Amino acid sequence: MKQIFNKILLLILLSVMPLAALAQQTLIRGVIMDGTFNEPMYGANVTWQNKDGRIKGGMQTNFDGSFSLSDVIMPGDMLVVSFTGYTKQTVPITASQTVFNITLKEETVALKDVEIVAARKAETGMLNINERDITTASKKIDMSELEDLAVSDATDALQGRVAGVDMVATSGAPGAGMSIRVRGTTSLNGSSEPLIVVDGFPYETSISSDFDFSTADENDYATMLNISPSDIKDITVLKDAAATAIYGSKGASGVLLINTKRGTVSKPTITYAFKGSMSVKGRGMKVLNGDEYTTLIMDEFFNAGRTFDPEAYPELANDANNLYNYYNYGQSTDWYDEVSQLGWTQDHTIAISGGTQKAKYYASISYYNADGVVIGEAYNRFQTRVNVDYNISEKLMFKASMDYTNSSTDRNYVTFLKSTTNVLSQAFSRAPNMSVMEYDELGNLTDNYFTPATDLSGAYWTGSYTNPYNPVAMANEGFYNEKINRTIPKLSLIYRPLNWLRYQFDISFDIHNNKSTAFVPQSATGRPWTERTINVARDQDSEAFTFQTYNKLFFTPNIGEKQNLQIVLGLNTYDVRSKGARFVASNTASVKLTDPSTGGLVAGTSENLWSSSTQERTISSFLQIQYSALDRYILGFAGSYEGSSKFGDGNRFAFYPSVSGRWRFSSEPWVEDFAKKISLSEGSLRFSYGESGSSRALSTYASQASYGTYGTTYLGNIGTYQSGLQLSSLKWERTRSFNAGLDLGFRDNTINAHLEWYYKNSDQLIQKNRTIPTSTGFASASFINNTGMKNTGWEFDADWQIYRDKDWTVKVSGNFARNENELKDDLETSGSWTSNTVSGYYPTLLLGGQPLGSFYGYEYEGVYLNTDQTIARDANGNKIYTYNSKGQQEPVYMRFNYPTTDYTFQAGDAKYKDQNHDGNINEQDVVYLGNGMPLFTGGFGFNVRYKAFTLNTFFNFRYGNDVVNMAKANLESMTGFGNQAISVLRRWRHEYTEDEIAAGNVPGDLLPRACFSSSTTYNTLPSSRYVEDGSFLRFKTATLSWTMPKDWLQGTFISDARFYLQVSNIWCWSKYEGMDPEISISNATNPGYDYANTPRSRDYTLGINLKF
Amino acid sequence: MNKILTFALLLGTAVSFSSCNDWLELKPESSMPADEYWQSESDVKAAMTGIYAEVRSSALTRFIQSEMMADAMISGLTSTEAAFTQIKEGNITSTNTYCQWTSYYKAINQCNMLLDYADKALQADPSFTVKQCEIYKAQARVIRAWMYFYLIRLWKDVPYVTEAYYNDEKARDCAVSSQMEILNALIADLEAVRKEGYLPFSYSNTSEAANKGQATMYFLYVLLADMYRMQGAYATDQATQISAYQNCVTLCNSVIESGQFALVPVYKTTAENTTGLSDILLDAQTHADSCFYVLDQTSVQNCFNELYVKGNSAESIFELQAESYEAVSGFWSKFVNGGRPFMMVNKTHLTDDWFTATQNNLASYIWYHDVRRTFSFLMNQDICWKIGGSSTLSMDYIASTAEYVKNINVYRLADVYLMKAEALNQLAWMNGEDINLLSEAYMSVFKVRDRACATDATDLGTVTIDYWNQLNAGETPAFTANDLNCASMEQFILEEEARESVWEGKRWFDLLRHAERQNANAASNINYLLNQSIYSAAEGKYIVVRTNWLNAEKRYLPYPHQDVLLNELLDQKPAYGVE
Repeated sequence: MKQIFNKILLLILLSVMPLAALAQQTLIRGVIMDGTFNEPMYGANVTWQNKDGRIKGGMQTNFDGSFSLSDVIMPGDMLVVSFTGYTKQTVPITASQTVFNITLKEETVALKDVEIVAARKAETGMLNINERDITTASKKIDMSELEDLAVSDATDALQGRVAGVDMVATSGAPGAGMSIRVRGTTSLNGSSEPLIVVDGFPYETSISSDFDFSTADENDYATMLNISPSDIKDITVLKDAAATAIYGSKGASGVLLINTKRGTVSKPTITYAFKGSMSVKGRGMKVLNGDEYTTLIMDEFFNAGRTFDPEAYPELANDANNLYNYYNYGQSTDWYDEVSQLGWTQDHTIAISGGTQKAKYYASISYYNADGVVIGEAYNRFQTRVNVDYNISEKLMFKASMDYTNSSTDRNYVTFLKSTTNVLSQAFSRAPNMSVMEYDELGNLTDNYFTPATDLSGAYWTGSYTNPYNPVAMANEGFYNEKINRTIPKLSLIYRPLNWLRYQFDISFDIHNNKSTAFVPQSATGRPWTERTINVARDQDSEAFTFQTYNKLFFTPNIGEKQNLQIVLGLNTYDVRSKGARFVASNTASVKLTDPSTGGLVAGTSENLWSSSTQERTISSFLQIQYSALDRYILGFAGSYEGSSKFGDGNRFAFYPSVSGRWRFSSEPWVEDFAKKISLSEGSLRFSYGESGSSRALSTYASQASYGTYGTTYLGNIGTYQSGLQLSSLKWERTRSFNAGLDLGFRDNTINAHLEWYYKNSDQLIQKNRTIPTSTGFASASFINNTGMKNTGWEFDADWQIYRDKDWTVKVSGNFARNENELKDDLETSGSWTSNTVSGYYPTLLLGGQPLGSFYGYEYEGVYLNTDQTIARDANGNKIYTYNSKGQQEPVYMRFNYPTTDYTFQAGDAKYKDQNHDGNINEQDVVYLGNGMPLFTGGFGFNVRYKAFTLNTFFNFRYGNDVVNMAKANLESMTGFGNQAISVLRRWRHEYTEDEIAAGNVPGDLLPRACFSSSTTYNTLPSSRYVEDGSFLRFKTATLSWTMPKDWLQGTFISDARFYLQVSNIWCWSKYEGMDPEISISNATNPGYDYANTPRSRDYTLGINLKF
Repeated sequence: MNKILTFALLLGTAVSFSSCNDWLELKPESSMPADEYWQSESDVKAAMTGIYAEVRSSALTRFIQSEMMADAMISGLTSTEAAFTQIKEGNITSTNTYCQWTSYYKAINQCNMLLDYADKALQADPSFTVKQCEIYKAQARVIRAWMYFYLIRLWKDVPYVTEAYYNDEKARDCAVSSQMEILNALIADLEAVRKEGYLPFSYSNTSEAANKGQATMYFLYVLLADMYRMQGAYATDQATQISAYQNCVTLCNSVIESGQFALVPVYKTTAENTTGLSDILLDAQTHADSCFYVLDQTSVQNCFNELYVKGNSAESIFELQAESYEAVSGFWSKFVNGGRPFMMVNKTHLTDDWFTATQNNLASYIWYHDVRRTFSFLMNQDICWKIGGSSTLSMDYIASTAEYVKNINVYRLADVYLMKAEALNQLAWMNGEDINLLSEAYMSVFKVRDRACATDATDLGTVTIDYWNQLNAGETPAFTANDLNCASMEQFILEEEARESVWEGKRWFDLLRHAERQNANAASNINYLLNQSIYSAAEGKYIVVRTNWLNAEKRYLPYPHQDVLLNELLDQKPAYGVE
């Protein structure tokens, strides 16, 4: 392949080289005169150009206005003379004339109002098609609409703006990405994030899934777009398969096309934008104070039948004779308050752009810095970008761009252990009677953090984020830092030999270095120095080098005025190599030595010393045809033929065709009259059918088996074995999708509405680590094409410019989408039904006919108020009796998981619905409880302008999704020494008599009893108790901006100035009881689990935009 | 225009299938791709080593499975494991960790791979001889048969796969074959290996480890003898039984008479001049009243070291070589675990029923005690001494992890003697209680008992001091029909097998074979097994266990859950319910 590219390159080079290089050179000379003052002109530009406008030579005139140039004269050559403020002159160069005396005339341009009428062009990937002629489902957002939003990531600004695109932030921490779903999830194990294409090249948002570091999980697959939002010109979302077809498998989950700003023909313009924000921490969960906590623990002990021994638990003894414990365990600490702070963000961007007919440029430098509301969480980004377009001649041009990003994300060390958590989880559960800083034996406060080696909840050990530590010490002293250095140079050569033919060669490199370091200090864990759990320093490097090329041929033949035809044919190659290594050392000599290379103990396990190297390639050829006739009938065809190195020989290539069409009925002669009557300016019907495929779920060498070795010798030799199945029959995941759309525009398109309906049918979905019969000798196959799923949905999107005049503009816009997912067949997954017996752990069941991301568990029915209620009842509600060995009738009490667990329910225990009335709560009573994916998503906003003031508001919502409030499950379990939510003050404390119940003396939201030790109570089983409605409506932003009148700026070097104030996350309407109902959906099979991540903060932003 | 055509042509070439396909052919850099394996003898050798390493790494599972339902292994006092406890409580489910057969089929598949691919390496590597190749293949066949032998004794009817499964294009589902079908096939396969004669009798003149740690012809003989013994017990027609037992005896004799193996001796001295033994003497009893011996403690310790610590003893026929603690660490953590084992020896049962103290019967001989009791456990320890003991036979010293590099015994010569005795006794039974055969059987057992210094209390009651003196002098006593009978001899051998191979992964199979034995006592053979339920079951659960065993199906494990779920051709055994 490389050879072929070399040949192509060579050909291009040859084509631009002077073909008659050996022919004789001719000298031409002359003088340029100023027509106004009639004197020689100094500094005028004189160029010798060929017939295509390519410059063969050029110079600036001397003081006497003279010039001389020498080259070979070719037919069609021209001499071009120009000077700013003067009319350009073009004179043909022929062999007969070698002396040119030219007089330039001053240009007198009278500016007048010009009304520019141009149809908005939309990027559909390869072809430039009028937005009104688009046949597929796509939506373009101009960043100028969003540029005031104080966000670090452009996708954050897009949230809720595009129908059918569900975006959820993975957490409120700075630098946390967004997980994006375009029309639902279509893969079980692969990423369902859309493809991001920046300036024509796919942009990888995460390093290959092979870099499955032991700690990496869903957050790492969230999309973090490291592009400064102010550099972005527009974003187009391609939703249906017909639109994404030319991107092949990479675009199977939708495509976000991002165009960055480029230079325009203008004098140099410098802009400066500043945004500064203050963030106030979100609503936390209210937990018990020190005294309430101690009482709860006593209650737990009592109900578990334990006696409280002050000697065994001096932490709870409150013994004034022991001043050390008295003070260190006699506090009432609000840990959430202790680990949070005011967050500050600053964002500066300076950009310079401009250009001439020949060359256009855009360059920017930006700096973004955010300190989060949780101590230790921060995000820092430095970025430069240069875009240059250069016309070598009318037939040949190149575009070059260079993008460099340096970012640094700080998170808490515990986030390194589990990416869905941070110190907040410990802050909420840490005993509130404990002190932050240590008191000495005399009761004096010291400078040391209070971190006993073992406290009531146990002791910290490596690898567990749930074991106790001092969250303040952890936030301050421990760290987890991720630094990304990324350079993306791109080059495009465009050659137009004929008006109807264009050839484009694009090449792009992406050098992505990622270094993460983490450190857990002894001062946070309190463990003795001899243990390997203290001062653990980690250093992990990964790098990816991506090399991509495109060869594209565009045909735009002129086939008459009433018809239009565009064809693009191309070839894309993609090659990515990734390497990674990890090094972990423990027991470094000091808490200040946080780098593993400074010494320490290293254990040679795969967790501590690890490296990996992978390579992946894909190649695809594609064809896209767009035909329109009479401005009414538009047809599109696209197809791609793609191969990936992930598959075995026989199944490597796949073909994905698509067709689409649009019928603009409003232009039909027989509708026109009617259309005028109802002021219909646009009315179109669209349809599309397309197929797409995906291999994202697969690891790099998925289809290949390899031989592994045993770690120990036998008879002194190393033994080998085939370490996995060879997956020769592995195939692409395949999705067939239909789309139908209706576009309506009224009153000259001041009212627009779009309605879409789609049906996506996915097959051969790849399941990871799928178990197979063990009699084959293998317990599982790494990947198997399994069942499929269906996504059906509709989308509605409208905007209305209600009023507009010189002083006022009022606009509203909104969108609405519904997606329904359904699995075709049952999928066996690990940890299925049996996990129902484990407290606080929901089983992952993938059942046919049910949507992905469903929750299953027991139906919670409150609390057994008294012993009588724990008697099992039959379907009619009658008590069940048995006879004992003495022949006496005695009641049968409700049991849990008889005979394996066989726990008899007590008064005060959680009551689960006995679905089959057998007196036994077991897996047969497990029911569907809800789903993590929403019924509706969308957003709306209005925009009011009065003179120089503009008010912009935006709301987004998700409706009908459920959230498993794991944070609440942990904070209401009442089984251990962890602190609990204040709701546990309403716990069951005594048996209620029938009279009391009848009199309504029982609190409606009574919680089960406190009972120490989770192994003897089953109050926190996976049940509907923690499944909550996660619907919300968020008043996301309100921005008030003011543009300074032009006349105020006269005489200054500033040409434009604009100031604005913005408040984000103003209010969130939700019934959800946790901190924030916006819960990550990035894990396809387990979306919507809330582990108390950083809640979204409320940000107050001041912004300044200046133009010079 | 020409240039355009060139571009188009170039594009066309680029799209062409073959060149792209090559470009997409990527191989992992950090591991050995499967399709580049099997190119030389060293690949085959490494694969063979891999098979041994695999059966070694799964030895722990195999060991627990062959003891967990029997009476010598019970849950630890301080450490317990839920999966094991459930087995002991008679709550055997298809999801139990110890009801899985993954490790057997993994090893079987590795053997099948070697058998399918060794010839590929033979063709690719000119220095690889046919003979050498056949030696590897013969070893793989023996190991495969050995694995199946476990499967049919633990699960009865199982899928019998003899073709390698290495890629997902092959059918994953496989129906079961019957226990006896598989047993016959295994016997036929091993007989073929024996006949082909490639399998060596020894691999090295210098390394005992090489000869004991790889499948030799002797291992094949013993394995085959064990299979014949099973065939003799399970077969329903007498002709098969007779030929099976005869084959078993012949094979045992081949091993015994080969001169390559010998029981590690334990020396004894007469006690006349030894003081300090008065505590076990009855009133009015003197040393002269009976044959009274004491053991030479050095030789006891030496025997223990040779068999259970150092390994590769003269007595050993096949044992898996540990070589490092990592390779057998599972044994340490399950059965030693610093003195808090998860599974421990049923000390009470062994003391009361197996290693009964001397009866001090003046008409008989007296031993201080059976050395095998010492080997099984020490009075103040819960751990099995054979498994956890260090080279020091000290009462309070258990092996540390660093010292724990112990081979895993598979067959010893003592097993062969007992195997032979069992077969001879059954032959005698079918031959009208032939006294010569019975006498020969007793002599075979005596070899084992003599070395172990077994006490009079565990001997056949009819072996008087006169007989014993003759036996001790190396003569064969003239036993009469009054002295020996087949039914009691059968019981005697069964108990002797228990004593000799405490915690060596044989007890359950002995119990099961006895229960299923189709001989003259077929109807009551089950009783012995049922009576063991009181010792095998966890406290209060023996009725459950006993009831389970009354159902012939429940004497075998349920099919693994995963297989029942995913293998369309496999249904759970009815006794374990429908899944």
